[in-house]
Amino acid sequence: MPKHSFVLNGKKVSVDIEDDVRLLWVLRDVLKVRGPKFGCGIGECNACTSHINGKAFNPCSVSVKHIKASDRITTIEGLADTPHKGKDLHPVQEAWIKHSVPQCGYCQPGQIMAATALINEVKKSKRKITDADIDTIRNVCRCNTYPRIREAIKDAAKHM
Amino acid sequence: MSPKDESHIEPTHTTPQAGDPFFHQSDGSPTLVDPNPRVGVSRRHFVGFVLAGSSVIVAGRYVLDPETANAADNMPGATSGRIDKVLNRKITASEGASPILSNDLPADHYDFMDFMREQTRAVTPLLTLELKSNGRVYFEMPRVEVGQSIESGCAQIIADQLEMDYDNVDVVHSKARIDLMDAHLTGGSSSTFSLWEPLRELSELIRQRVIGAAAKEWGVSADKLRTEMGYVLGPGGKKASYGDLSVIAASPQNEFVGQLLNAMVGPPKRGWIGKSVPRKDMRAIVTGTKQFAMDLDIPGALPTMLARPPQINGIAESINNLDKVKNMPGVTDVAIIPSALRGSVVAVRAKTFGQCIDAVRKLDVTWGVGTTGKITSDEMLKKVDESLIPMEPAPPGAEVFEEKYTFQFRVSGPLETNCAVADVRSDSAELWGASKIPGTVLAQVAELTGIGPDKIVLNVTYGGGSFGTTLHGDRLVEAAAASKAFGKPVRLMWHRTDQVRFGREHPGSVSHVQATKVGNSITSFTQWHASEACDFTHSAGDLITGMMMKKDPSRYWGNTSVTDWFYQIVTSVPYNFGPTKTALTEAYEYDFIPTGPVRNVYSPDVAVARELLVEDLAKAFGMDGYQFRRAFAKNAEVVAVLDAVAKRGKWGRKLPKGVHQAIGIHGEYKCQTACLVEIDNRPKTVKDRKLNGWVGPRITKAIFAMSMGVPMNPDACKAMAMGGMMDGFAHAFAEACDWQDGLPIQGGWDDYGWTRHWDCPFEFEAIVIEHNSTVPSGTGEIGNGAGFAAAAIALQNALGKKVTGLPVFYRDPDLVQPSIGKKPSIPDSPTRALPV
Repeated sequence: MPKHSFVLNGKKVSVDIEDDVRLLWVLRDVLKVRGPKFGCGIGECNACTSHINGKAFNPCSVSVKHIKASDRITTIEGLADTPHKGKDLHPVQEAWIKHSVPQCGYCQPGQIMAATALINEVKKSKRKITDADIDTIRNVCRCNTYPRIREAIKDAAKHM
Repeated sequence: MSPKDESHIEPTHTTPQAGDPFFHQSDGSPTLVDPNPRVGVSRRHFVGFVLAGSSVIVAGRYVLDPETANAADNMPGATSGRIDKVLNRKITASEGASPILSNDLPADHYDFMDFMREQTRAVTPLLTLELKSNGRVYFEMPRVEVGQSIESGCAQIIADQLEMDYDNVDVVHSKARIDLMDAHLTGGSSSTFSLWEPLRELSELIRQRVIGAAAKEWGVSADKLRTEMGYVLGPGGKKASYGDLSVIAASPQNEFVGQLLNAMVGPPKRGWIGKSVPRKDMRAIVTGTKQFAMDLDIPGALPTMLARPPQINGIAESINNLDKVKNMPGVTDVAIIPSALRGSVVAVRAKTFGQCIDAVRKLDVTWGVGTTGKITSDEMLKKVDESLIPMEPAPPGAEVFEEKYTFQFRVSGPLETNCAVADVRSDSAELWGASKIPGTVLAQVAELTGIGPDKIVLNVTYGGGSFGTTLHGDRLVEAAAASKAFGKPVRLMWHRTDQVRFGREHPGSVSHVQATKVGNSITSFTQWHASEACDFTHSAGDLITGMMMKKDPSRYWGNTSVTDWFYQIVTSVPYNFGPTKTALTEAYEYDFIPTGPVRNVYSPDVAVARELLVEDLAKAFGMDGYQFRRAFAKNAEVVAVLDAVAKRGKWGRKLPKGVHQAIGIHGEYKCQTACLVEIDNRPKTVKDRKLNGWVGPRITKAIFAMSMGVPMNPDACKAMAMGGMMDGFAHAFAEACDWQDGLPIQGGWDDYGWTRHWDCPFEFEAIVIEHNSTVPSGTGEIGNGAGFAAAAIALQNALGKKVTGLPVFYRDPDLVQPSIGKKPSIPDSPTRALPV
């Protein structure tokens, strides 16, 4: 069986699994990393949103064979360890707590990862994050915490 | 709460005064404030027990005091829910309106929350609360936390009454308990309300116990002691922690405490109750460590998914390539199993879920069409329409306002699909999954497997949303069936497409509303509501009722006997429209398609139909929506929420052309609510949205007000309002599933009109108004009705045409067109969606 290696939350990992297994199942079923959630498997709800080399992506929609050994995959479990001025939690996580964003919490790992990537992306263009930017987030929340996510993103951006 | 916080209006007083607004309690329950001194006697006493053990475990029960019970029964108005007379019946006569008092409906006196309170009282002797020697207090909650904050709420109730730190109270999910019968049920926004009293009694029992222990230790009388933040404090600086005292307070044998306590624990202390404390699971959620069913590591349990038929309730007749599929990478087992719905499915177990998906898609199954056939939404709604009670002709001389409103089917669709773990052995079984009525499910699993209920353990897990889905045990029953067929543990997960097409739905309905007008009065209001059958066979919490409902040969009357009753105890009309009546009829068997009490059950559709007709009435009176509703409001609470949203939302402000306002109201769960929205239908806004593939105008502002009893956690109440309201927007805009050829054509997130980030208003506020009650109201589903109504009216105003069919953009060609095939039943996953 083919071997696949990549960097996961700062550590090198290797798995023996068929080429076409989507990364989400490698993470959840083989490596038991369960932060990224299954919401559809077809790249529509973005509940599994994680980062590849700092950019948001859906591991449910990428076969493990397309992941290179040098790719740095970050899941929600690794977010707090990414560079962000050394506090206990990432500013986006802090903002989520401050604004009491979550209800059931199932979508929130993905929302947090998507928000973090978006804020970082907008910052590269050296402008403030807007409602129009937040409108582009495709992550679904069935509890409908959207208004609080919006507030939390704007607040977190000020601390990043 | 700082006086400047206009989003939380605190009660004006905490001891009862004449003229306090109505509350629904129908008995003189002593934990409630009763402004009528004649009915101030307690009908019920709470007596306590300390159970044998090395920690302090308390239990209690209610006993009737026969003397006071008889006296109370003889008091006029004693058993009626509405104690006050003048204030709430006061006619708000404004110019051009002469409201005629309406009659009460059953729900105004006894509602589903009262029913759940009674059920929980009945089983209170079976509940325990434990103080451990480390000072932590432990409660096994007979409810499921699915996002509605009841886990945290229970901890707040306990911490408040016990006077200890909220962080030191541990609330866990109780496993399924058949002995709790109808009281192990989460639903109808009733959890906080039904657990309020028992938890406060049990907490007070522990508090008095540790006080008694300290009194004995220190040789002082108990009335010289007080409690604070987990300590008993006495004269001369004496201080002992609950944990330390628990050793003395514990009892080596069951000890009857008797009427050391009575039920007069008084109004909440507001130490923790009424505080917006963070959720218990907050940190776990944001760090990705909160565990749902599929996050558990149960030894040997491998991923399992199902192949489903191309029509609902189809039957797997044969698998034509069994060996081929069994030999696919990772696959361990394949078999036909019964569906939790009608018919059967094929279960596949494999090393990873991805490999399950591949196997399901490869299966060559011969499917029988099943007993529902190739049904369509249009056909079902036609039959529903035919089942309406005929509308009586209006009396002569009255101006008649009449309309029929049609509501499409809606999926409940929590983000966590139906997921459960099952390990079924020859003579025992253990299961894990989110369940709102686990006792019923446990018994269903017993029936399916032939294993005695006492040998089955059902562990209730957190739900990733529910919205009514987990009332039915579909996930657990199918997991059990698969595990039994394979003889191995399984982690069962439904695909998203399964959830949309085979998951529990809000049934479509037709609501026929009529109001008659004579002069400045509305002289009658009638609402006949017809629904495709809503499956209530999960019962009120015990298998026996559920089984009785199912055994009816017509598969109709058993269910209808429950749904008719349920409709009557949840439906009320918030206006003085003279003689008022409403009733429910249903069409089809309960399991014709999979339905359930989803998202506020019938009420949102009932509210919207009424509120849309009210808009017609307002126009006939030459009033706007706010003025008319206020003029005909049934009570002061309705007025309060209308005023709050109108003020905060700046009702009547000058709006740019293409921007409109709307107000809708709804009352349920002992809450009265109002929602004001502004909708932007300007060409640029609409064009921008349509370019991005989204639908029409946008709601840009939403203000929501709730007049309620004690808000356990004001922030959480506002969150619930917000969530339900936003869902309501989707129901008005585009959310519906379209049944064609026996299955909804939708199958994902983009082809079904759920609310998304781009539907979010830019300005939102929720206002909590406390209405001087000393008990909580229900908030789990509270946002849906008024939110849906306000959005429907906003669309009517914005589009300039009458809305009689919801969702307004049903089958709109600008929506993403469904394209997920029905055979195989689940779509493949993309393979290389990497960022550029």
